[in-house]
Amino acid sequence: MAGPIRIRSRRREDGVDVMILMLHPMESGLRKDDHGERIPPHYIVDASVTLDGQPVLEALLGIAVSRDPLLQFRLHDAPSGARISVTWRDNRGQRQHAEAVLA
Amino acid sequence: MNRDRSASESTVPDARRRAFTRSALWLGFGGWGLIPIASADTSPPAEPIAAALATMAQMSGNRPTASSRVRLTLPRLIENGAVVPVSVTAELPDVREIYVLADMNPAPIAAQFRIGPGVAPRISVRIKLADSGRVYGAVRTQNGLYWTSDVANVTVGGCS
Repeated sequence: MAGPIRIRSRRREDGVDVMILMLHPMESGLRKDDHGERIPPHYIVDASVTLDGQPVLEALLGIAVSRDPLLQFRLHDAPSGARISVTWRDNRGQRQHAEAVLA
Repeated sequence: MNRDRSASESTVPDARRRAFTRSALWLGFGGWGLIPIASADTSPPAEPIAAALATMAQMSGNRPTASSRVRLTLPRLIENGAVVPVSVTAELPDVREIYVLADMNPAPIAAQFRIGPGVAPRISVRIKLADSGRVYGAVRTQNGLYWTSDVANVTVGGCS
């Protein structure tokens, strides 16, 4: 089932590494269950990340992305204590949001 | 066949001959250990990848360009195609978008990202691969669309 978003950040010499884990089944709709029935599609369509309200990353995901999408990227010029905010939307209209303080 | 010739041949015996030209390189960095340099396959992509790259390149008013400044990292052997960690890194200025493509999947683009100005031109994501084939990393800058590719060896496909 879709779940919360986990945000982790680690400050390095030349930036801050950010890891975002979005718990979600990312079901493509192509798989069948044990009875041969198709499992309905349920996947994150897009996700956006902002830093103190400014967009830093927009991701278009979809059925080719693994269950529980894990995104990693690095920010430059990102002050410690900045607010990092993540939102995703899935194909069923569900949304999830989380925020964290940058390392 | 196009090939990245900027580095020397591998001294590791290659027991797995492939149709694609491929060289895997190990570089020692002063005691920090060995860092694998991703091999690259820049032979011309088949459809539908070629069409997808061309569409992206049009956004910069260019044609797609194979580039050794784009690096794709993939596991050497993929036992579970349902979870394949991929990174795309570019040594290029002003990267706006990063794409991951796969030619063995139902749709060519596996994931795509738009990055802001303060974001390093690198993204890691985990994707599903239906079968063995080629995975592509591409980045779009103001000047064009640059891509690289590597061969994915998948033991158990990840889409069904």
